[in-house]
Amino acid sequence: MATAPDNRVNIILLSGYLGSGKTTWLRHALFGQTYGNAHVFVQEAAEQPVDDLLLDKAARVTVLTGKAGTIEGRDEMVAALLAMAEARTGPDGGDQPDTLVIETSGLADPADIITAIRQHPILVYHFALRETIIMSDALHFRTALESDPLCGQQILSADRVVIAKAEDMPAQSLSNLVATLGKINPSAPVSLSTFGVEQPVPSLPAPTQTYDPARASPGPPTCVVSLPIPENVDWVEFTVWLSALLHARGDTILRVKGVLNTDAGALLLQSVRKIMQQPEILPPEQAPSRPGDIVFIAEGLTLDSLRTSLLGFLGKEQPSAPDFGTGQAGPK
Amino acid sequence: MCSACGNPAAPGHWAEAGAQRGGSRLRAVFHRVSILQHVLKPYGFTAHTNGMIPQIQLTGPGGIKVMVKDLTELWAEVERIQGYPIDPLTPHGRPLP
Repeated sequence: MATAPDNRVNIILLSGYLGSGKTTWLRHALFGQTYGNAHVFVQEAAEQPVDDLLLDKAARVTVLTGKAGTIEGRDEMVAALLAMAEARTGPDGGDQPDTLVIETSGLADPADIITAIRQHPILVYHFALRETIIMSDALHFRTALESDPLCGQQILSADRVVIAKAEDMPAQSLSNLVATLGKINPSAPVSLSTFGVEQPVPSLPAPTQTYDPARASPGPPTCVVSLPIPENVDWVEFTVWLSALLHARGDTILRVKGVLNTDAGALLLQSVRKIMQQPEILPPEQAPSRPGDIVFIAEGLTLDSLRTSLLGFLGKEQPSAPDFGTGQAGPK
Repeated sequence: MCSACGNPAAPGHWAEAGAQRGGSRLRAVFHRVSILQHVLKPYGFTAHTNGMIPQIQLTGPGGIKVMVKDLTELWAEVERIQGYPIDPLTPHGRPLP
C-alpha cells in the first residue's frame, strides 16, 4: 500500500473488544505485507502490554499506555504522531513507513483522531485516516452487543467489520450475526477471519433473527436512512446542504457515507458526527456507474425528512416519487 | 500559500474536493456562493467572493462583515452572529427567524 496521493501517511484504525482477534488479524496482515512498510501504534492501558511482542513483522511498534478517549491518551497519541512526522522529514526520512496502523481496544472513535490531526498545524500535512476496521468475536458478539453500548458504537464507527472465530459457529447463528451487523451499519462490508486469514462471508441461510444493541442513553433510536441524490440537485448544492446539516445536527448524525459524482470524479464522502473526513477521489475503475445513495446513520431521521430538507433548503421542487433518484431527470 | 492573502494552503475543505482544477474550481466557487446567497437571504446575510482569494465574505444583519475560509466556518459564523444555527431539518428547510 502506498501513501495517499498527497503523500500523507494512511492511518488504519483497528479496534474491537479485548480478545476479539485484533492482534492475530494484524499479525497476518503484516506478514502478508497488506500494509507495506507499516508502523504500528498499540494503544492499551494494561500495565504490561503484550501485543507489541506479537507484532514483530511491523517495521516499528510504539506502545501507548494512555487510554483511548481520554485527554492523556490523545496527548500521547499526538506526541507519537509528531515524532513520526518529524522522522519523515528528517535526514533519514527516505525509509519511513507509508502506513500507520493504530490498534486500540477502547472505543475506536475516529472523530477524536481526525480532529486531533486536523487541528494540528503539522500533523494535518502528514496523516490521513483511511479506514476504521472493527474486529468482532463471533462467539461473544451477541452478549457484548446486548449488554454493552460500546459494542454497538464500535460497529457504527466501522468502515468495515471483520468477524473472527466464526469457524466453529453454526451457519444459522453466523447468518443472524451478519444480518445484525448489516442492520446496525449497512455501509460497512463484513468479512471473516480464521486465524488471521481473511475471507469473504460464504453463502448463508436466511437470517431468522437480529439482535438489538444496548443503548447508552434514552432518546430517539438510531436509524439508517439511504438518501438518493435527486437528479435536479448537483454536487455543489448537495455539499452546501450537507455542511449546514452537519453543523446543526452533527451531534445526532453519527455517520454519513456515500459516493458523490463531481467534476473531479467520484468522490467518497465519509463523516463521523460533525467531522467530514477529507474526501477521496475514487479511481475510475472503482467509481460506480451511477451515483449511489448517501447513507445516514442518525438518531430520529427519516427518508422523508431528509428529502424534504434537501429540496426545501435549496428551494427546489420535489420530483415525483417514481423519478426520485432513479437516474431520470427530475423537474428543474 | 496564497500570494494574495498569505493563507497557508492547508488541505482543502471537503466540500471543495470535487473541483480541484482551475476552471472547474472557479465555477464551483461562484456556484457555491450563489447557492449561499439564496439560502442566507431570508436570514439577512449575504455571501460574496471575487474568485481571487480563497475566502468568502459573509455580511450579516447590520452590516457586520467576516471572512470565512470554508463552509464549516461559514455556518459557525452565522450561528455566532445570529445566535442560533440554520437547521436544514426544521420545517420547509429554511425557517425564518
